[in-house]
Amino acid sequence: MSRRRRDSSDEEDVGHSARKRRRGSENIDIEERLESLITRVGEKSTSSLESNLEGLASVLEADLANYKTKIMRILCSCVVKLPEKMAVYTTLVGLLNAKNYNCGGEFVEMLIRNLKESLKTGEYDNAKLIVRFLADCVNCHVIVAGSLLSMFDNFIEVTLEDNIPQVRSDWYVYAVMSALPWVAKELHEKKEAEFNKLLSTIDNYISKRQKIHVPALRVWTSDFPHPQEEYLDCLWAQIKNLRANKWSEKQIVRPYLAFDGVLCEALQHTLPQIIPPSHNEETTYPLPRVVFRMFDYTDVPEGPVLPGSHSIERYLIEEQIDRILRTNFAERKDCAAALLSFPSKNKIPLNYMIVEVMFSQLFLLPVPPYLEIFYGSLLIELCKLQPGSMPQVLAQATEMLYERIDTMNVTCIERFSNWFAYHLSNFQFRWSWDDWSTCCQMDPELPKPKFVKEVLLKAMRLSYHQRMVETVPESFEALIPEKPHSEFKYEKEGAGSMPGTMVAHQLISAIKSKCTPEEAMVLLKDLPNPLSEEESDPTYHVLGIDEGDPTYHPLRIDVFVSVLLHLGNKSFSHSFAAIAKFHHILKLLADTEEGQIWLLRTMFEVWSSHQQMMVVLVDKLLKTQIVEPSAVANWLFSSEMQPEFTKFYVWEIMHATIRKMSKQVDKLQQDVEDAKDKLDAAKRKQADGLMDDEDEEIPTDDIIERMEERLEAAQNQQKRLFLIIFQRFIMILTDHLAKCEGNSIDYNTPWYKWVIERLQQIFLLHHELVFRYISTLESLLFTSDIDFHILEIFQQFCALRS
Amino acid sequence: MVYVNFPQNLTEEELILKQKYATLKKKKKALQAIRTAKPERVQAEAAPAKRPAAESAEDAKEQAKKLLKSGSIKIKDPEKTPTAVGFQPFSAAHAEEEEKDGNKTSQRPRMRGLYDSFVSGGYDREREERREERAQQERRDRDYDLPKKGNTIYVNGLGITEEILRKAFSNIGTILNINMERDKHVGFVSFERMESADTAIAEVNGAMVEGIQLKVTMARRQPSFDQNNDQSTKSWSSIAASNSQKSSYKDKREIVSYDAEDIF
Repeated sequence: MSRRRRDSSDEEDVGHSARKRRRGSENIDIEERLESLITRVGEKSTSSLESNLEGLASVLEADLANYKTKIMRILCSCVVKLPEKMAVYTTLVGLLNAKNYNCGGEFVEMLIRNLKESLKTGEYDNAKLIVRFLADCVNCHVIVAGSLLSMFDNFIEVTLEDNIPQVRSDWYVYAVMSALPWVAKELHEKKEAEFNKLLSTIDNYISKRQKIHVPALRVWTSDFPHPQEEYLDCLWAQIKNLRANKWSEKQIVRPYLAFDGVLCEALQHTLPQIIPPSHNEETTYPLPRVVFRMFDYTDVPEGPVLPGSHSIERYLIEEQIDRILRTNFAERKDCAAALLSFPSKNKIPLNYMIVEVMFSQLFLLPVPPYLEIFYGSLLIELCKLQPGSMPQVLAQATEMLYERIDTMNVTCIERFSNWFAYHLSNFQFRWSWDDWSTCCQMDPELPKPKFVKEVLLKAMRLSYHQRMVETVPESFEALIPEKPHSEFKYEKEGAGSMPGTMVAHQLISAIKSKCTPEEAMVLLKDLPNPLSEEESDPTYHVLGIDEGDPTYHPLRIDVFVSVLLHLGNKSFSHSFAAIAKFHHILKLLADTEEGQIWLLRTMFEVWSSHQQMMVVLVDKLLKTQIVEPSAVANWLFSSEMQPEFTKFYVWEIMHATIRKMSKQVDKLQQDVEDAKDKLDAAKRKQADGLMDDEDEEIPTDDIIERMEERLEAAQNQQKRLFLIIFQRFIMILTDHLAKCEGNSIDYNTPWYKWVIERLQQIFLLHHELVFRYISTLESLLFTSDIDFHILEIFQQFCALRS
Repeated sequence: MVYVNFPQNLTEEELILKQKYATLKKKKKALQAIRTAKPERVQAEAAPAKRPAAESAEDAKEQAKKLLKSGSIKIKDPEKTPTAVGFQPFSAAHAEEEEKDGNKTSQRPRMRGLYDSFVSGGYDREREERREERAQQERRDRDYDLPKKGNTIYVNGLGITEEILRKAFSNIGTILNINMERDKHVGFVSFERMESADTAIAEVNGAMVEGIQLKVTMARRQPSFDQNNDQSTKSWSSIAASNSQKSSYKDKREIVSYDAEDIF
């Protein structure tokens, strides 16, 4: 027996390698070998899976005496790490259990421990996989059917708990439901009465659930051509169908069937009582979802038929594709290869299924599971591997998404346009543009023309203006972006009469001759402040300047920022260099929020045709703390920016600003924690008498206190930012709704769609942050006296976690 | 243990034999892989070509039926049609000849003229129709051997360069990509449209470009595309299939130059 353990692990064939030996392999670590043997069973092999499993089971049986814990641990990690091979491992466990009853028992015990741990720590995905594995263990005669059923009963009992969020009971019900395709038949045969009772409890729960959150998560507002169902509703419909088909399905691999003779003689274990840990405020449960559907069987031209949306096969295949993406998301090439070697690829229209699942993830609300670029690059990889078929499916999908764009959620339209621009940039911008030319005659605010325009804008970022002009047909002229350029008003005709022109030109030559910031400041000193001189000027009144000293100097800001951006207009880096060199002056000029808004306004004057430049400049200004996040938000909501308000870049800036703010808070939080840890560690050392003078700097209580103050200030700033954004949203939307009511016109204009769904987007994209302020928002802003259409968005959002 | 226990110590000899067996097994597998891979590829290429062809044949039949009904065509002895070929010794010989020499199909029109002058009578039109059909069938059959549709051509010529190829083919159609194997004097040109590849073969094969005689044929290994698709996805397919990242797109922008002065 001892020789067997020295088998090299790189043999393809486990069954035979168990009897092979190679010289010089004595040193191979046996534990590593075991791991390799176990993790690789079920991969492509020259001999049948059955014989490999049989062989491996005998090898493991022999090693159990010495390596039991190790083997158990490896098997348990396979449960959560290699779920695509679940049936292989349940069969293996079944075979081991048949050979060695105790070992089966210990494995189940260990798995139960892991399940309890996952539930306690909130690793719900792992917990789901373990539940499913336990269910499949019933099929392999490892676990008594009745005891699994009582675990299910315990899970379903969560639905009876009082004062818990629905997401909690949802998850427990989902965990049971998602295991049913594997084990339902067995339960039905062995415990029919109890099983039916369980099913009717689930049915009851499903019919009573609140579904306020659904509208917030839908990709399309329309149910045509495919209903967009809540995930539990959909899965339940699929399971009811499965039941109608006498619990038989065609998708699940069941290698244990071949071992029925061996397995049915094995003794089974009874699961211990598993009671879900009780709810506490800290636990966050998985968010609900809406199932995304874009294809049905009529969309697939030929070959295998696409399973219907309520057939369990659809769910199982989607799950499996989802799994492959999850395992390989960091490596697009491996991921593409893994997807295309899908086990039952000849029985399903694989390309359509892959494309649908990938778009469902890309469009997932609130946020996609992985980076958006992952989906884009993976689709390209898939096109490369299947140039004869994948591009067609993708083109068909694009065409369908475009056709259905009118009812598409704004967030999804944005992701769709980003993806499409990226995809085109990898395919020489070739597309049958002429098919879309009707959009050129539409109201440019409607989704179709807006989408095309934004695609071209994004595509231009990935190439250049001239290329866009050459790419699309002439009829698209109205949608082609303006050529990006900088505007410098002080050099234009008629500039002579403007108050700042002279100083602007002095400034140019001063900066060109490399003046110091101080010298530049001296030049600016000569400029009069229009706010104190011309109180009557209405432009400045708008900004709410009271009598007394003006809080900022618009002319100085205007002249200096115009000149600076003009001189740095060659590139991003030139602009950055300009900002860096004159950082101090910029900070001085824009020391109030009004000043900062004026600065941003001036930037817009210079770069309004270059969206990407504005995006990076605002980012830079925030990073260098020349402007504050709240100033950016107020600027974007200001009346000057109203014509830009539905353009996507405005929202790119808005979200980037929010993200920047939260990063800053996170960093300060981290700093405080680190400093506290250091201090604690130092104190402990001191107490132990190990104080070392040469140690790194120990923060004092004083320093920590100051850090905490800074953190608190940043947290307040963050809260204020959200309040400003929501308040401005409410103002602008209430205004619109009131106007429409006054003029008795339909409020549901294209503008309204863009704006209300942007409000929704703020909630969703930053849901983790916004949830912290939910009570403040409820009592301060989203009160019952605001318009229902606005309030509804807030309520849908709250329902996400309730 | 239920299993047969092999003696656990192998002799030197046994070990060597085993190794040999393993390598042989590997080679066999590799061979099998090559063998099975090839026909798959050909099939894949031929499959899409087959469909439209079959359709057109059916169409032709339909059209012929319509014409018959309308009376513009008359088949003199419908009873004999199925055996007509068998009765005609000449045509049988011809068909055989054609089967042997596939190249002649391209010279069909001229041959028909010749044939017309030799044979007169009621059957020849019909016979010719059958022959035409056979030739078509034959052409179709040969399609299985070499890809007859594709957007990539193979060009061979002593000392060819990418520039020469670009010059030679850019006026035929939009070039997506050119791949060179300079040491073998071989290049592969991918066009946006398959028709361009056909034109290129018809026009440039055998021609002299920059003093180099070019041999142009369809590239052997290239992916097949569904030809019924629209322009955009067809080019997505071709681009996806080409290994090269560079595009043949000509950047028409003017170079923007700045003064070297660095003010910041």
